[in-house]
Amino acid sequence: MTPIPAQSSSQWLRGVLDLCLLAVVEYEPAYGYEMTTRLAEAGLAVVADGSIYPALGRLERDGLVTSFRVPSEGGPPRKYYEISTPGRKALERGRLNWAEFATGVAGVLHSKPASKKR
Amino acid sequence: MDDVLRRCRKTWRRLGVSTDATASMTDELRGDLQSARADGITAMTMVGGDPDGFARSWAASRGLVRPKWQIASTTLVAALAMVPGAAMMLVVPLAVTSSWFIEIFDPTRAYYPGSRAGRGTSGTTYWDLPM
Repeated sequence: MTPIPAQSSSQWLRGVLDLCLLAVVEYEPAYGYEMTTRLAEAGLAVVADGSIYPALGRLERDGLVTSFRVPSEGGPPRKYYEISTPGRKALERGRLNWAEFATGVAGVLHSKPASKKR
Repeated sequence: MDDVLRRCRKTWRRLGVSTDATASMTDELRGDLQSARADGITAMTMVGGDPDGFARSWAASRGLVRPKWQIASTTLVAALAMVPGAAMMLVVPLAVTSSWFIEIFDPTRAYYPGSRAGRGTSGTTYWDLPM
């Protein structure tokens, strides 16, 4: 059997990264790198590849997050992202869709062979 | 870190991303790279080892990349706009020193009908005025 590549989790996450980012900023705004560390704390350390920036760009362009700048010490102002009202609705929908999808995948992955009737 | 930022900026410039947007993304990235460095993460890791691809992907996701045809048409228009100016720069110095120009645009004709201008063997302009 061909082993599952190590980057699989990265590929899986890519499909739900937008959703995870919305969840990360659901209760408090965060800047890009801060989101990476929050995801890493949740066990999703595979996002240290710059993929969150395009994802944040999409979310902002689609109006699901808004941004603001906060002065920082010894560096350029930090760009913080916060979830918008449409973003909250998208997050709620996404949670339901993900739960349904994950249940479906789990059902297939853990299915037992059906007993053959003769 | 500076090399990664420089390569990103170069990519954005090549893609036609505006100066403001480039400055904004550069600032955001610089701040995050500084934080990552404090945690022992290199700038190259933060951009997935591919600064050019990262910069392209980020700009595209924000809708900042101008289509190739638009960049090409802008370049073409700019080049065409330069043609008359270049032609003038080339023709004018040539024309004012040529005898045919003096023949055609002889300023003395208005005052001395029948006069002719020409160029002597020494290169000086002479005026053949009717007496």
